[in-house]
Amino acid sequence: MIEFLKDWCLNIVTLVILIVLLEMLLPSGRMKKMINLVSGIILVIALINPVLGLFQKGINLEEYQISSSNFIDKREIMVRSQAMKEEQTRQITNVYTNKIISQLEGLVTDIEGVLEVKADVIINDDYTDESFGEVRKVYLELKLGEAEEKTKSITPVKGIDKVIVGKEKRQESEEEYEVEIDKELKQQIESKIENVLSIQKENIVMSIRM
Amino acid sequence: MDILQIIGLAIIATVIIAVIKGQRPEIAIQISIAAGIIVFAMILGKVTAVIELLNSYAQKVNIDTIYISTLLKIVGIAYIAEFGAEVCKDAGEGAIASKVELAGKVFIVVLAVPIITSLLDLIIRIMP
Repeated sequence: MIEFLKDWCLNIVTLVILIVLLEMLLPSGRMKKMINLVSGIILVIALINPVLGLFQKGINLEEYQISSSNFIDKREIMVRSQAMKEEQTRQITNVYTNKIISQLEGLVTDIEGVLEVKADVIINDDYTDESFGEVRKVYLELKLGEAEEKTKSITPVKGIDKVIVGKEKRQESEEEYEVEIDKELKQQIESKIENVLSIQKENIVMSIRM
Repeated sequence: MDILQIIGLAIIATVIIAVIKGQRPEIAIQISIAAGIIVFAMILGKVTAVIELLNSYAQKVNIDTIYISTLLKIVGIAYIAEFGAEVCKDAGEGAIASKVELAGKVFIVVLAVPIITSLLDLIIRIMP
């Protein structure tokens, strides 16, 4: 009994002295409050725990610490792995989209009458969905022309009409430049894309670049 | 007399900063950070020695090392966070300083959670 009391007293006295010394060392900022709280709680545990240990009701702080830090670490790793998974899926989606775009561009450029093409696609990027990765919409910006035009280094400059400020005139000129895509060519492109990506025709949007 | 060295360094740094601040405020901030780090490094050895001594005494009287180690970890985190926050504040970045303080607090809470839960458990056990 005397041994227990001696240990208990020594424990408390040493802890109190240590806490006082550490408080002297502490920076005088806002952290002091937190440290005071924690040191107070530690002191309370050190006061109560040995007495309870006498009746086999005490706790082992070390066990608590290990289990709690294990729990926190586990949660942290889970959160991080979730974030990494999302990042990975995003990167895969990006690579996939780029591949589809380059594939489309190659495919359409092979068609006669198309000089250049710029493609863009919208894919289903919700990875929880069953149809993840499905191409939803295809945008094509075509530049039409014959193949031999490629060899020409300089294209002749188009004549410009006299610029007249006014609404009606501008609308007219816009209409002038709107070029319809040749129906046959359009069908050819659509059927080719349809075969490769299994996408509906109405989801392919084409425009002409001058 | 290390304290003289530290104070000398601090005064010289302060004078240089006061002179230079008008013309080159960006260099003044760098000097202040460097001086802070040097002073911190100079006291680090002494603090380590003191803490080792306290630790050895704690082991001698057979005190639970878990109490001490947790306390020391918390004090260390508080010190480093405070230092980082002060440096940011000196550079005029109060917002970043408060974020550094928040990070320090979060880490302290992570360390303190097991202690608080064990106290709660202790109280629950006392109840009949």
